[in-house]
Amino acid sequence: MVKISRILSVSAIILGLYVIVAASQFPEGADGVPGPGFFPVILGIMIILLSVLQLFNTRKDKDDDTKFMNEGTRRVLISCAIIIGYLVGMEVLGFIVSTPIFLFSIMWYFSVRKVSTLISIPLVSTGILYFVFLKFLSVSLPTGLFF
Amino acid sequence: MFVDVLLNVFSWEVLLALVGGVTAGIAIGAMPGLTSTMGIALLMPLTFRFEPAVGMMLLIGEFVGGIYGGSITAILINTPGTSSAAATTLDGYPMTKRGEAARALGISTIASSTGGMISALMLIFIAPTLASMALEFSAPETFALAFFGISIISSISGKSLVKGLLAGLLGLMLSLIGMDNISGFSRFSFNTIFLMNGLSFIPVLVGLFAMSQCLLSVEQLYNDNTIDAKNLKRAKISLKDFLKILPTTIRSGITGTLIGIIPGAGGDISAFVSYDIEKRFSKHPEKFGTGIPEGIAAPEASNNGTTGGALIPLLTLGIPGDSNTAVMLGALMMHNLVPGPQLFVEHELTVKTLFAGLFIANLVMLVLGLSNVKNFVKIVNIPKKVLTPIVMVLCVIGSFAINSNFNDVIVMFVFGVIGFFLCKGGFPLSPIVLALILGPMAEGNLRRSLVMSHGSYSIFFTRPIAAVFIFISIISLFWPIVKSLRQEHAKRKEGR
Repeated sequence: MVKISRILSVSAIILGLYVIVAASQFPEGADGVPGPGFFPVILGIMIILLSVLQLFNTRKDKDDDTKFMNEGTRRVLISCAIIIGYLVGMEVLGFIVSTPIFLFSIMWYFSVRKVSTLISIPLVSTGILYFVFLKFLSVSLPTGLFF
Repeated sequence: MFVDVLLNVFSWEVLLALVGGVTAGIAIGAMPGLTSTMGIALLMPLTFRFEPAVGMMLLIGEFVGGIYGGSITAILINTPGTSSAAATTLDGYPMTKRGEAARALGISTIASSTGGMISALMLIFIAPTLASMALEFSAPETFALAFFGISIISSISGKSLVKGLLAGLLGLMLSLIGMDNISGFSRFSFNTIFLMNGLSFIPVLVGLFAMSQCLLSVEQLYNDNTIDAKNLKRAKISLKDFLKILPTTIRSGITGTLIGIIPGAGGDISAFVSYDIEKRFSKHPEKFGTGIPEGIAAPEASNNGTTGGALIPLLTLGIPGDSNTAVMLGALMMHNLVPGPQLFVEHELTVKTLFAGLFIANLVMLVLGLSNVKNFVKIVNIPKKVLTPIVMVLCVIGSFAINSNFNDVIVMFVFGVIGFFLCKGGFPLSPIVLALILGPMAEGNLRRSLVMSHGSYSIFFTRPIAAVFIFISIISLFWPIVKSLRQEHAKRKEGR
């Protein structure tokens, strides 16, 4: 299995290369004063150098063997999928409708099976948040197409 | 002025905000997996509609309570609720095992609030002097200061220097997104209007510090820490214990404040340092680790001492001392209070009210801690599988509330995922946020200085204050490398 910090280092190298290529096309500065591309190019070079160093460190470091995939990580990825569904749903249904549905489904996925919890927590917490933020603090909440 | 400050602090809104903030802080701090930084990030949207002083009190209360709250779980179940309470487990848990949980909690409460009050007093005396010195700073000094902030934070937070530096560089990179404020050229915005103004700070924060924590607790979903607290009624403190820990508490409070001033060194470091100092100068060092009062008082007074310390560079120089104060910087900006020396001139009353508020927050914490431990324990027992989804919803609200822009919610989620993987890979998160703040300050002032000097870099070395800061930054960047080389050299010598 691939070590997680190796994946991160390689992505950082790609990011650094992209930044250097993009920033070298920015307009140049005048009178010895650096232009908008100066800082990004330096950062890009430093990121690449340090990432290469980190790749070597990862190889040596025996404690640093966090693997990419395990049962916990899989649960995180599926939860992320549920959250993405929640965010997409929010754009259509709005906060007030999508939030209880999200809370119910993610708690179900986390294997909460007590019916009273599954029903009361989504409804009560959405209600409290709605009143505290929208009515009391008049902070706006995401609205959908209908609500 | 003094009367005005008192009138400000003892208004019912401010006191209510302090009590609310400290209560939320203790609860959040006590729960393993929820950190005080996360609490501040999530409470921030609540403060937008309040007066700046009231809103900041809520956050300061949260900060103080959050650092203390971690000790409750450290003492009762040997699991620090926040990383700064890690040292408290050393003597706190052995005392609980002897059946003296109430005594341990009492000692930690009194030491925490005393340490916090000491740091508030030090803040009151040190900050204005530092601010008046910083008033003289111009572009080269400000660049040197920002450079110093970024380098020291990257080099001391986290276990690996390279990972800390990479995190800092990532933050600097993110700070580049959007319109360049000198030439007006738009960088890395991919032709979207949303990114043209740069990433909004708060969604990034909520993502990195709150959403990523949620994902981390999803990973550990079924390892719940429940506390059996049937026998625990309240925290107790006897006069004998109080007198015994008083010298330790005062020393540790001062040490904590001084460590808190250093950007990047927070409560976790100061707690271990103070524990170590007390052990070294104790008449009976062998008793440390067996559950003695001084072993609880030292880390607790010290980590709460960092609260006032961390506020010193934040308020006087605009450089946050740790991730908590980085989030507070975001909140101050939301209220149009730009931290830095000018703040002490233009908003003197607000600043002094904040000082007084920090002191009173510690008194509030003392009362709540001594009277209500049982209720905080009940909150810790809420299972993760119910709590985590609700916190996720709070992250959505928090990131949406600032600009009412749904793109901010997406930014929050993306940074939540990035933060999760960086944490898994052992990368510290606070350098990212600090670099995100200090990046524009460093770049803008670098270029402005070069305009002043017509392109000559000597301007950074001929001005003494700038030169000193740059010198310290370079040492802090290279010292760990020198140290590891020396260690290897010593090893080779031994091998021969």
